[in-house]
Amino acid sequence: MKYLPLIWAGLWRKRLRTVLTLLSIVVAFLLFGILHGVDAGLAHVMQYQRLDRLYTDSRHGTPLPISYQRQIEAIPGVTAVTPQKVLQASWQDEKNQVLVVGSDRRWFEILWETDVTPGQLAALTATRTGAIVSIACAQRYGWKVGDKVPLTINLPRLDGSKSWAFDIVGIVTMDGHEDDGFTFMVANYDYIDQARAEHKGTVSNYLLRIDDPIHGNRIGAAIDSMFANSPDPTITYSQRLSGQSDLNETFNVTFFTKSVIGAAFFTLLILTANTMMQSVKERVPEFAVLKTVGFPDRLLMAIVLGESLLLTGIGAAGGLTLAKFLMPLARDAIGVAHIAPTVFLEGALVAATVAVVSAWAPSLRARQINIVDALAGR
Amino acid sequence: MTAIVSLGKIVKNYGRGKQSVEVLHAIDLEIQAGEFLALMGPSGSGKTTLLNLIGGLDRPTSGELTVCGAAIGGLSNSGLAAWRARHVGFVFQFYNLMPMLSAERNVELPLLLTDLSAAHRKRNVAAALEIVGLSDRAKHRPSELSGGQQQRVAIARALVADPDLLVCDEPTGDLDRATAIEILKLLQALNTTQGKTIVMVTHDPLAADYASRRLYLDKGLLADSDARSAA
Amino acid sequence: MSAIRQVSAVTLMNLRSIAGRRAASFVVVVGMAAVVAVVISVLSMSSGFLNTVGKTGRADRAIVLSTSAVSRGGSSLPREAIPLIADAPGVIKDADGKPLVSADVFATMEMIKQSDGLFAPATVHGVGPQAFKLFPQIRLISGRMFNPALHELIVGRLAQTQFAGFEVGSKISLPEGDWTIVGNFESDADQHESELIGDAETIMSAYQRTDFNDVTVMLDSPAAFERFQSALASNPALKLQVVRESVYFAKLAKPLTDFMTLVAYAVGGIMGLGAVLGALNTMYSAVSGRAVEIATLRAIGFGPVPIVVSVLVETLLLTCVGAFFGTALAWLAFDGKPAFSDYYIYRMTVGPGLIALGIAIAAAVGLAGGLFPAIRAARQPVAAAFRAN
Repeated sequence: MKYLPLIWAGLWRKRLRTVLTLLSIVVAFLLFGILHGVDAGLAHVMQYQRLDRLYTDSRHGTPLPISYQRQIEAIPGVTAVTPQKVLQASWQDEKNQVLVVGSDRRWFEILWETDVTPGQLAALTATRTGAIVSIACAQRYGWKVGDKVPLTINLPRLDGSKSWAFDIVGIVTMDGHEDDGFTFMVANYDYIDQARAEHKGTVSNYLLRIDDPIHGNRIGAAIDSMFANSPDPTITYSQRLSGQSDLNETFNVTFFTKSVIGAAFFTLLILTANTMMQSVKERVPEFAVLKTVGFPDRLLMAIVLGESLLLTGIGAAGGLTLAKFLMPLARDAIGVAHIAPTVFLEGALVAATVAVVSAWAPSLRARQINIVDALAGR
Repeated sequence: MTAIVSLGKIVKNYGRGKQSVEVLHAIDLEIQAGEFLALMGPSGSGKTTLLNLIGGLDRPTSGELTVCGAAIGGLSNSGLAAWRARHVGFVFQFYNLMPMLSAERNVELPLLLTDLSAAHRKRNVAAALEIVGLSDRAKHRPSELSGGQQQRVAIARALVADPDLLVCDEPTGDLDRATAIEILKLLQALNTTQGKTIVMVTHDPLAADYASRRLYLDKGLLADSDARSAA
Repeated sequence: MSAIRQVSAVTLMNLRSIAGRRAASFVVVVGMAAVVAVVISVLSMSSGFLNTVGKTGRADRAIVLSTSAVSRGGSSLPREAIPLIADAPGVIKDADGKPLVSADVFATMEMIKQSDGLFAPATVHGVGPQAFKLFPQIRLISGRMFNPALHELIVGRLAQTQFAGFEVGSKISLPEGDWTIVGNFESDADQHESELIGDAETIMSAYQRTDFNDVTVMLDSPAAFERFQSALASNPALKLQVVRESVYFAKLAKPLTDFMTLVAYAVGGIMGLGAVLGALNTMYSAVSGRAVEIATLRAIGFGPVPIVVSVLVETLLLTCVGAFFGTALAWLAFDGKPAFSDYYIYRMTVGPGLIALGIAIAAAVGLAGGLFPAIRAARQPVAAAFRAN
């Protein structure tokens, strides 16, 4: 647009001040991008989890009987149930941790979106000691399909040993999640239950799929009341509740994010408004000359607003871009590696708001300029 | 010829109530199109105030003020702005160029208010710079130009929208003798060859020599009108 | 005029003119307050966590776990091992000559949090009969001690703040029916306060467990640890690991505190950068706005050092005021408030260490933001300042 050279020139009148203000804006939006990205990322992770899945856990932390499975299946609305016996295992060295889930092929149908093939599922069912492992296991431990891996599990076998052997029948990745580096495997519950010495016939919890997320509460209540008076009562909830993520367990991320961003942008607003105001005050003679040339007041206000938008826009773009590139570095610490596009959109909105609010008083000041006084140096 | 500027009983006060000071006392004046008028007088005489009124930068406290066919005394601020854009070009003692814009961009400023296309504006700017003899300095910033050159840019800016009236406040006040003469010759040429009406405030008798008519202002009152053709 | 008098004269002159730079100065104060508030708030979590969990461990107590266990929850000790551990050398004996040990069992129970009504795990800690001699800091506040033969528990003060339904006298649902909370206790605000404590044997039978999780012993002295440890190591049939209680809890606290520290410094670092930029902006402006006055002073004969120092003093004053407000805000909002992370309940603390950190941050930002403008003020050629006006 034709006023751009004028607007651009106005910004660089005092180079150092403009550079410092610009950097401040970049920093503020860097913070915004990272924090908001983490917060939105966690929310996205939660949303990604499907509401048609439920967990049935033990209320007391005691193991649940395998007999519950049949009873849960019978409840209307439940389309699939699979048991989970979750075990901590290690391979060769205590440091090489693997999470072993004793379940069955229905696990893959209910839980993660993996790239598992029907062939792999068939092999799991056919091989008693079979296991399908996550890609992190293959990457970190060098496992291949066909390997026989002995794992050490703190669960004694009938013969007293704690060494459990598994045959790898498949390696899968989870799509929608970048590789989390999570080493786990799914094996057959029957194998584990038959070979173990204690607590036979028990599971850690159940996974279910239901026909419609709307029925989640009703079905959960039905399951829990069915077992409420038994020695092992249950609580059933959707993944959304449980996935109130690990990070949020440690740290109320949303509250923190909102507070920090709020504080940072409050400061930024004052800073930018102050910079714009100072800039206008120092350029009163120049604005006066524009008025003599015939520039109407509205146009002058628009030029001030234009400067503010340009400054904030460039700073915001810089800060958000920087955030986008720095985010992957935080992945190990936080588990979120990408910034969702909505964050950029919101950033643009915030930038526009900061620009408009900062330009408010200065543009009024520009309008107030009395030509005669300004030219006379008053 | 109809007067391009017509003042009838123009009074201008500054301040309010008890602190009100009357700077111009019931001035009557007519300026014909094509005149080159020098307004002279000691400091405090009100000549800049009179110039500001003629140029539409300020409004009279009372009286009739008609410039370029419009009764500008009653116009609103935005009305005056629009009027100035079409009819008047200003030249100041201290040039008042935008320091961060090149000469071309400075000259272009009045054209931004029009509907002309970018190419058209570029042509007009080039023409204006040609007239003042600064085509080779088009891309320079004011800080890279001498005082005389800056004043030429200012004159080009005042000309570029083809106004009826050029208003100049001490245009040679900050220049050395030789440069001042160049500027005055330029103004004279604009007046004689292009027929621009020029109203110039000056305290310098040399500058007044280039004008076609002189007026003296003292303590807010016009003294004898003295019409003389330029030497 | 002596150097100090020069400095104070210039500084006072600068400060008197601050009223004209209110908005810009306000930017520095607010920016600094925000940085300090954020850093201290986050660190109050790790500091509080360390204070609570870290404090629980003593150098003269040791925890015995099974060999490959990483934590007490993952450890499993058979009944037969207990007397062997209790009789090992280095264990202190009480007045009756009985070794001071407690065989513990841990369980979790999903209970409803007061804050958001969602389920979260509460810790149930079964202890041996000697436990209260072993942990003398556990003191009943109200109610009475539990009867080991019955389904009774006492609840820690912090646990009561976190969960609903933990009042003295209320019943909670555990395996084998309802258990009654008969009393509550405090424990020097250490990790025990986030637990429900009951008798180990009774809890084990309710949860149908046969093994204990760990054994805690009191040693003769911190130095007795090596004796105790080597005695147990020399028996290969017992697959045990022995760790000092203080070391155990320190290791436990590490991941969380490391994470908090990372967040505090990462976020605080970025915000701090912003604060420095804001301070630079303000001070450069302040200095150029007073170029004539400063030039006048120098023409009179004031040296460059008082000028530099006075600008730094002004900057530091602004940042310190900001840091004060930020620290006060963090203290008011978070000090002493209970928080819940990873099964542990603790109180966040804003202690002298964090306050000192706030001051340090103010100093660093003040110096970084004020030094270059100060130098520029002192170096601008005197004549140029007069001419520019």
